[in-house]
Amino acid sequence: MARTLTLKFLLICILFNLSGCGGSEPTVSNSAVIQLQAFGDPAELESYKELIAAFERENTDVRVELIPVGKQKDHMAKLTTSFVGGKPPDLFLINFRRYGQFAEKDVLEPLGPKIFERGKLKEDDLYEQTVEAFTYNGTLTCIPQNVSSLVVYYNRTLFEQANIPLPNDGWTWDDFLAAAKALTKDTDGDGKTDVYGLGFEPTLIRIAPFLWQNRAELVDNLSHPTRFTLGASAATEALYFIRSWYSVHKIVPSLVESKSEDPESRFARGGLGMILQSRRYTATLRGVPNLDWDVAPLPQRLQKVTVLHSDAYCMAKSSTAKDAAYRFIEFALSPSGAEILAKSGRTVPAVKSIANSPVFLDPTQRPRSANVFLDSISTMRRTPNIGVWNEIETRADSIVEEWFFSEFNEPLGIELNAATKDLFQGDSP
Amino acid sequence: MISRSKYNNWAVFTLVVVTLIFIFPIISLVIAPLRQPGLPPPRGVEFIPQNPSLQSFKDAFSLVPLARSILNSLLVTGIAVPITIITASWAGLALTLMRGRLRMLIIGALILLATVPVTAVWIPRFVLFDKLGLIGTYAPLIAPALMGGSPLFVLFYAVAFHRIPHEIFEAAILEGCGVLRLWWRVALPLVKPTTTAIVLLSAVAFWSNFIDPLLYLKSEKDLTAPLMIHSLELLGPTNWSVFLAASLVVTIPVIVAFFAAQRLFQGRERGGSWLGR
Repeated sequence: MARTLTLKFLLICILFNLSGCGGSEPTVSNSAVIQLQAFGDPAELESYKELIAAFERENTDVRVELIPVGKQKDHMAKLTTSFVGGKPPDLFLINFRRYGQFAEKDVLEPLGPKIFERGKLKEDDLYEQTVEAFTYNGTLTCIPQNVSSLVVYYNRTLFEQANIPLPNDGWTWDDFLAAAKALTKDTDGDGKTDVYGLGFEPTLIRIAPFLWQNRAELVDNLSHPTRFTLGASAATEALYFIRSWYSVHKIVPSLVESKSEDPESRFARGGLGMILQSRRYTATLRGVPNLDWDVAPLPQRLQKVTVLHSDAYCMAKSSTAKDAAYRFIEFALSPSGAEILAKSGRTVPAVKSIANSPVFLDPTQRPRSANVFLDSISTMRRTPNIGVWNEIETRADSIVEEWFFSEFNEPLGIELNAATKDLFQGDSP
Repeated sequence: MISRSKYNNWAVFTLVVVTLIFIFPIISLVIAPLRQPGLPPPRGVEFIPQNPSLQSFKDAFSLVPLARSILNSLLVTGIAVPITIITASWAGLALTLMRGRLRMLIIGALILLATVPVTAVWIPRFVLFDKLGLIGTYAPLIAPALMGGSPLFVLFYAVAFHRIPHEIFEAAILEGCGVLRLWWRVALPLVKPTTTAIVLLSAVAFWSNFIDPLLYLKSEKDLTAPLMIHSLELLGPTNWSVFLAASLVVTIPVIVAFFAAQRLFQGRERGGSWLGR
């Protein structure tokens, strides 16, 4: 009996004393500890570790703990739980489409005014499109780290085989469609298409630039949206153009084909002529042998527009080591810090000087036309950054996919508005 | 007799078909990591990879601290499973020895608890462990073991103990056997197959737990194996062989444990008949 009780006691002691394997690390006296939660693949997270090591070498009184999370979805689950539970990380990276939900709850430290007052970083150092995207209620809330746009990745070999001109700056919707049609082929003559002209993920963020190119709008008001505005004739025309890729021209794989082999894999093995993707895809393609690929801007119609993708450093208002956190952001965006992340090739630096430096535009690395990413920046537009936008997009994406692959041309705007009305209304003041 | 052999043939046939269906993903899990990383994934299942290599396994261990994470998972599972067995069997035995309305009430509550979705208790649990200062430690991952791991495990034990004739417990108590001795010497040895099943089920649950390590752990050195697999998945389609190599390594202990426990499963629970009644 006594032995069992001792055993029980021992077990409980062990359980509550387990603080990770290997125990906690010794803390240097007078040092501040900040936590940085970042998401990304292992190679990207490795860059953050390098960045942290470089920062700690220069700032011996600060220790940065990296909280690595893989997928963005998991990153969001961990962030929201830690915010609601009252224990958020001091710093974290987040996409502009997702930070609104934290900004509206007033749990973020507005970084803009103070970081520029400190003098190490100037607003002009950063691309204004990203600064604008992270400005919430007139205040720059988070400091942009990267800026990526949607571009066309294309397979040069397939273009040459089809004997069609390579995509160039200024190409139009008609050129784009003609190229995709010429690239779509049944190579073995079995009646089934083997190579498709285009890989396209039918989601809200992907259809948005085509609306804007036709001078249509996605929502009624970017700052305070109350509904989707896809009923206007310019929007209908753009939507018809997108839908025709599958329903009329069959230049994109069917839903079943996309689910059995995702467009990214299909492009990597040479089964797609073009694919619309952001900068992140570059890292995957650099590792694929025997694939001759490059990038081009999105085609244009009435105007040249692409869509913004950007992540920024945000700080929790409840952070107790704000000064150290500011110093870390300043370092991460300084030339020596930003270069470390730029080398990974996964993102386009938000700091102009680094984006235009050989570190990013490395001529020895593919894509040959890396400047396409930079040239696109001036033509970027963005989706709203309101608190409920992440949820609106999640609901909208399944509807957009169904609409894209459906046999019947349902009025997308009406369906989207019906599905998201409560969210828009809940957000409006 | 004929109908019985026919029945047996059908049973064997059905077993073969079901086995084939279930073995197929396992075979592809074993073959897929042999593909060289960097190549686009094959269309469909590739039974014989071109230029098979073990590079994906090397990459899986070098890109993320997979070995360390497996050790961490082993530690968590190794501590949590014995505690689960102790607490679940205690609770199950208590339910069996209990009489009347209270027993039904507790069984009802257990069934009700089993229906609560995990997401509903994310925040309260996070706040609780934060107040206890246990965020960033393994305690929140192991804590469910203190409550039997899952309401279902408690019910399994309750059912197993219930099948033992009550007279055995009464006789043991009359002989001066204390509750803990009754549990350890009399009750537990009679329900070994149930214990085996719960060891396996709880081991798989703790081993593959994703959401708790995601929410509660912070430092990379503390992370468990499922989190590593998730991060390797992000390498993209051209590196799925690396992701699958890690998945295979993490799945092997589960498969080994399952086969090792086969013999124990086949033993019969000693119900009333063992006394010759």
